[in-house]
Amino acid sequence: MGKIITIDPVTRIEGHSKITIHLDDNGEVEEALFHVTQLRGFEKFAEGRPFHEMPSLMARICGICPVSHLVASSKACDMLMSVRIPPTAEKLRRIINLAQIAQSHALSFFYLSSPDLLLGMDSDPAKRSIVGVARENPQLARSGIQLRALGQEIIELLGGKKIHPGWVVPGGVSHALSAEHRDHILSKLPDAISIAQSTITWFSQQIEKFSEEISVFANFPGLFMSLIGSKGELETYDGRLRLADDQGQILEDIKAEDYKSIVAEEINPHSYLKSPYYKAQGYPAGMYRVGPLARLHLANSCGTPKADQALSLFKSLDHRSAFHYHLARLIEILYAFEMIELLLRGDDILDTHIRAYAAANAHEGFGISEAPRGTLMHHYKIDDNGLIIYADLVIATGHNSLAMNKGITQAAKHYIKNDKLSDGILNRIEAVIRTFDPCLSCSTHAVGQMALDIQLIDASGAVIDRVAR
Amino acid sequence: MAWLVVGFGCDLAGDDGFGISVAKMVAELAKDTPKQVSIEVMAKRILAPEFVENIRSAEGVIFADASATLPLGIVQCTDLQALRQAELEQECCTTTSTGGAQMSHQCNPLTLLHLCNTLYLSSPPAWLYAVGASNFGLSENLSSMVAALVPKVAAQIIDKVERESARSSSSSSLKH
Repeated sequence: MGKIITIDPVTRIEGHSKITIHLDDNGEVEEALFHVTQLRGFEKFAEGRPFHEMPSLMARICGICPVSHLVASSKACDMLMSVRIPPTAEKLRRIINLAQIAQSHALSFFYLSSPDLLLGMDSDPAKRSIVGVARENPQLARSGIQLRALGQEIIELLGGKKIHPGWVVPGGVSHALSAEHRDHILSKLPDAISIAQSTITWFSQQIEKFSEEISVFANFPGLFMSLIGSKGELETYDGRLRLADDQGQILEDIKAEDYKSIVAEEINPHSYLKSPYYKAQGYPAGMYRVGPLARLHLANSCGTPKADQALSLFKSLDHRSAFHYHLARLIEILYAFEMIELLLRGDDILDTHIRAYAAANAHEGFGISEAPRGTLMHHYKIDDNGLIIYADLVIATGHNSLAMNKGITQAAKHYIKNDKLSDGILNRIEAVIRTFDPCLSCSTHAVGQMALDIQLIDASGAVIDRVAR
Repeated sequence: MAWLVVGFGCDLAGDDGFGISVAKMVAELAKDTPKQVSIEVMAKRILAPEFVENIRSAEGVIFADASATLPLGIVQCTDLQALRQAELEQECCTTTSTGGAQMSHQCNPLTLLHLCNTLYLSSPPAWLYAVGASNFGLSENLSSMVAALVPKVAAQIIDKVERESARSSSSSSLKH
């Protein structure tokens, strides 16, 4: 019988999870598993609710990306109502979804990952935080704070509040954008765009310091999936669903609503997170990745000038490494603010025709959009009274489940060579997970000390090494 | 410049919602304060790093929170600026149970003040009003003892803001 190393909880991610690293009888890493240790029953307790309540209910899934669920759920309800929403409503939904992506990416890069990237993977864990970043590079910390704050502010100005806004509704949005709010947002965008550009420049100069991490942070061939625009451009709200390999060969390009024809899910005994896979290649060979790395891998352009410049840098990198999620995230922040500016300058953005009204006209609806972490899918069925009888969500983090497990196994095999553990090694294994930025349960809160305690236990149950922080 | 009152906690976790309740009551009471005292109120589930933008531009900050370590029903007002730098650094770098730096996007008041100082080289005077509580289970209601303290602490906060504002005004008049 082998040994197991446990990292519990994994720090600086959204939600609570643990990693176990299983050693064989020779002390070599056999596999590593990412466990999501919390259960969420939203699909089940949505049953019996009127369909029009779903967007607000589903937004409560998460405190970091409620807007993403709001958008996907409202799109599913649009389909249940069989309506085409007014053009201005679609643009406003796009803006709030882009603001969500920008603020979430800023949180991930600056608050959660920049401590590793600036201070080093082996730096003192007590200082490996946003406070440590502020001490070492105040401008970087200020940049993160400003970018996240602007994303949050845009959400608040449009949706009425930063967390769990109810503004996106079945049929459109609940109220029009005022000229005052539009002008306020427009006045702040140039600074944000400049900050995003500067950060991309800074980070692009850091990348080569991480050549070892790049080579073993979930660096393997595989598939990528995301929504894609009609001209192959980056798309975050609508579009077709595309699946391609790491060489860019397109395997699927389908209507997003048909995703169940190509994606199936497997249940794993070690985690409450299901593992979606590409049906045609089976489980687990059909592993694929979603999120900023996949979106930029699949897109031939962003559609905004400054992000397109940055995209050319991204295209020169090896997309098989999850380490490059970081750069992809920064480019998407730049894209988001540029695109918000373009949309706000549209002639009809203040139009007051922003909502289509209808009762339920179909029994089944799908809503698919791009959340910060990847493609988000909502699927509902209702009865003749408009009550939910079936709800199924495939969340962005779930799509990446197989790749995260394979990624931490790869990193653990590379870094763990004997029975001795070090904080730097364990932090690197956590950092693989952080590149994917999984969002497991932002709406739940742990009570008590969130310590990290890793134990190496031999076959007899004796603790032979331990790292705690 | 306005004073900033930040009540924080989870209003779905029983007494942890104390800070939120206090913030809401302060917002009501603030309508009757003298016009020369401006109070901005924030009611938040957690303290996030981006709140330093609000803090840096405030004349002073008062936080309100429930405490799991104070005896039940005891109200404590702590002058956060009076804490020595070393204590502050140790607190914000090592305390994770109250949202220390290691969780990175969930701060405590000291972390925020320290971040503000580090990024902008100054931070306003700040106090923390904490009340000892015991019921942090799933509930939208405060326990009766903690609920009874909401108006008392809200009034104390208004009083504190008015006194500190007056002191600040008189000291700046003397300087002129």
